[in-house]
Amino acid sequence: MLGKLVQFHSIEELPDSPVTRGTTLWNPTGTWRSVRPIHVTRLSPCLLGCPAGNPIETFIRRIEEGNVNGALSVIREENPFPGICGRVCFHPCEGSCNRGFLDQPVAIHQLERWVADHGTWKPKMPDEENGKSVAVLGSGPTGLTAAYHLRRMGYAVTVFEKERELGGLLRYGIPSYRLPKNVLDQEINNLRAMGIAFVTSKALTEKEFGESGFDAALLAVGAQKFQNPRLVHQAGEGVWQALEFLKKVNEGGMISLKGKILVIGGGNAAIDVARCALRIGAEVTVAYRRAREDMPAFEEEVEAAIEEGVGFTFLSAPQSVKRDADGRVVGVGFARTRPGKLDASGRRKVMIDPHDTFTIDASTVILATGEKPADLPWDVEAKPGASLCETDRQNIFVAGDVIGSQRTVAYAIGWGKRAAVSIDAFLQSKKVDFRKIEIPGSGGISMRAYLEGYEIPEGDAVPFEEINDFYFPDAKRSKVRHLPLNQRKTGFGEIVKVLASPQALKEASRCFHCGDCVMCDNCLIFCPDVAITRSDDGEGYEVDLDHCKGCGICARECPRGAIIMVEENI
Amino acid sequence: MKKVLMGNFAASHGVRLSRAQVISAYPITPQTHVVEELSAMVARGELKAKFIKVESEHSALACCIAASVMGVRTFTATSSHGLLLMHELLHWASGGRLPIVMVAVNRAIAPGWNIWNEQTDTLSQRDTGWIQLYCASNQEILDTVIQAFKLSESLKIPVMVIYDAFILSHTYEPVDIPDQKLIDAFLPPLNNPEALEVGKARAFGSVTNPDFHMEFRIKLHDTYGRVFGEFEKIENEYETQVGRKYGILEPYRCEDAELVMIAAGSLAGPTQMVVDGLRKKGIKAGRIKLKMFRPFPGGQLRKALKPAKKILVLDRDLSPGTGGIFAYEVRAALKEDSRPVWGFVAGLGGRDITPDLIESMFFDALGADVPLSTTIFKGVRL
Repeated sequence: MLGKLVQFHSIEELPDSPVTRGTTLWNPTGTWRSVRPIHVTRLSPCLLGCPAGNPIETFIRRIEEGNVNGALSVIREENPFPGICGRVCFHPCEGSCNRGFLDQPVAIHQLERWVADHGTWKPKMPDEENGKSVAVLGSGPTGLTAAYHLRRMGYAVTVFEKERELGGLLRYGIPSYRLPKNVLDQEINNLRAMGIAFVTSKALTEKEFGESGFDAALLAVGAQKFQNPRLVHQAGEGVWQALEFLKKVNEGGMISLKGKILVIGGGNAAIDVARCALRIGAEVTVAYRRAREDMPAFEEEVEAAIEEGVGFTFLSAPQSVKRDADGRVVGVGFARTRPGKLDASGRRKVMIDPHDTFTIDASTVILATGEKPADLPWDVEAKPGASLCETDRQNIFVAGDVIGSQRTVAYAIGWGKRAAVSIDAFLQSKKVDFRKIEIPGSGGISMRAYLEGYEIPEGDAVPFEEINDFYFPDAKRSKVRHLPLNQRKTGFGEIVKVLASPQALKEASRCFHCGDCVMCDNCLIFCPDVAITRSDDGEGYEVDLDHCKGCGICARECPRGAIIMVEENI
Repeated sequence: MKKVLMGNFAASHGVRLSRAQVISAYPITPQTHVVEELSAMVARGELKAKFIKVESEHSALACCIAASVMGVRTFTATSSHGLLLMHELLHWASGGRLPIVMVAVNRAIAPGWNIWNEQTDTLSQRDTGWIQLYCASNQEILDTVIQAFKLSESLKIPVMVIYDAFILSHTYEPVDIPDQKLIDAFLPPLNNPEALEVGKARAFGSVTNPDFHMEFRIKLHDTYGRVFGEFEKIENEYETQVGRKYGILEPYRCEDAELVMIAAGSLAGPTQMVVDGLRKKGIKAGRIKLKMFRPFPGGQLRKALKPAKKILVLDRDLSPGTGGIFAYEVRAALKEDSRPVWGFVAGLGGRDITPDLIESMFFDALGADVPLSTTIFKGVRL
């Protein structure tokens, strides 16, 4: 066991201190172990926050490597619209970013935007046409995303849009100060270059579908039915629906709107409407029947609106539209409200006080009180649950706002991916185990898992407690420049600027890469038994279990929770 | 070249002139300027060394140990609690026979918190196997640091160069900085044929079973027997080349002295002054400045004490329940000697030891045949 036996005959012959002339590999200290380290890949919390299934940690790593084109291409393996999401998404990913527990979350949203604005990506035709065709109804984010992924898989895809231009809510619902039309056009043009066919001003009928020879259809027609307060029956001249108004503005059809505008509602649409109205010259007040903290609109949008000069009145329930003798709108009568008891959904009931009434003067009223899913245009019914996008007709699928309750662009993109997978599975007679392609928590779909067999890490996301923050020095979140306030109020120029490139690289370096090894060698450096080595392929680490004592220092010193200790079966 | 330097900077210049290659230290209190100045010297390119800042004194010495195993000249500095935190590794360094040099600045140990001068910190490390050299002036600090590298490397025993906080560490004195060429001639580059090399696997500090552990300790103990001779040789060589010598101990007016006081470190100055004063009064006083504490120079001490009738030891330290640590060692060194030994303890936690106080110790001994107790505290307020 000891190799050569050395005999000492006197103290003088001894070395000065105990030293071996060879290695200590003969001593299998691994037998002392009761727990062993395992090098693993685990879920990052950001991923669990993204309903679109963006590979956030991976694209940030590409940025850090200086490979912006690589970053763009990994995003586009999942999401065709980083330019759009990098502008309009409300980034739930950042809400779950572990860095938020240390200082502030990584500015993932701005990084996505930076990648989209700086990277080059060439759309390409599928390697092979598979001979099957799909009709997609609706060119909103769900329809376009489904079309994109189906096309990547080799389907001939035709998108039908009943409006004159493509994009659905992205074009007609989102003001261009948030999403410039040229960005939208560019990302749709990518789809065109991949060979997706578009037919505009056309609502494909069920009969036409039946006669057309399409192998499947996706109904992604969005949520366009209005749900209105009691004022609805008083609609008419001077009273608008939010989406109608936004559509008009986005088409460039309404160039000026003078006088006092009253917007009713507290959601994102109300804020969009108010800020658009402000930009075309109106004096705007938003009336909401609950308190500010109850507004479903995103806080940063509300703040921007206040900054720009939109007025707000809370705890105000609209009662009637007031008109003059000529029928022109002169104002809206309101009743004061107060918060009542919590209802089943956890919100407070609105208690109206009929005796406390007041009037707000206005020449135009815009109702932004929410939309309901459109009726399905064909005589089909969505299957209950609908997570597979199926209907009672096996070759007709449904996805997006028309069946979903979470109506944001990121969710819409998630729906598009889900629909693409379901349609492919049906047309290729494949059985899909959604558990293997669904990111737990967000419900986002991993196309990499579906198309390339990538294995989504199991278990919970890495909690902040497992991040060794010693390795992450203080670094403030990058701030982006905004259009000056005076320019914001008078035009539709994009408000939020893109990060400067050095800023983006610095911001990317704030990422912890939770649960995903970046080969920092910390485990190897700290191992007191020199029992960790880089794998031959350079893609990970191997533990010499003959000598690892299971001390756990590697797991403790891993900055990102990519080494876990598991008990030995003794 | 003469410069006015505080003791800490004198130490830094000694390290620079010795061309230390790896310096590792923890930079926060109770650390002193020694390593601050060294880091600046490294940054300015005046010293080609790797300066490793670490998170504790324990790690600082661990770094030095690893560097020393690689065969490079290695230095660290610390004080009081920092030194105590190194305790485990002090044994590792000496047991590993690593020629590391350390500056230890004497400061009191908590509680209560006290950063002022007291020697209990280094004296309590007496069994760690480090050679201990106590300095009495800033010039002696500089010279001793240089000599310490040579001593340490020739015997493969680590050396502590020790001096008093504030009294020397932060006090400015004129110091002669020797020419680099002189020091290069005196202290050649370290050449350790047993150093660890890439491609030559070795494991240091491996397991030694009962059948060998004792022999390794005996070997270290035996080597200690050569320290006095080696240090004298080194001092003589240094004297020839640089022109200064201090001695393992330095007797002052002891030839005919009836009362001899033994003191270490900066107390050498005031005790010498008091002896001169007493001589003027016709009292035959002398003093011995003790430089080396480990190994303890019992033979030299007995020789220097030959004429003395009464022996006084001044300790700025305390081993609670036992008394002054120097007094304890002196008594042990005197063996069956029947002469009385007065063990004075004063100045704990940085309290001043004034010439008057020292003089009163001599008068205590003058006025009695034997000490009233083993340990006599002087300068006590309550």
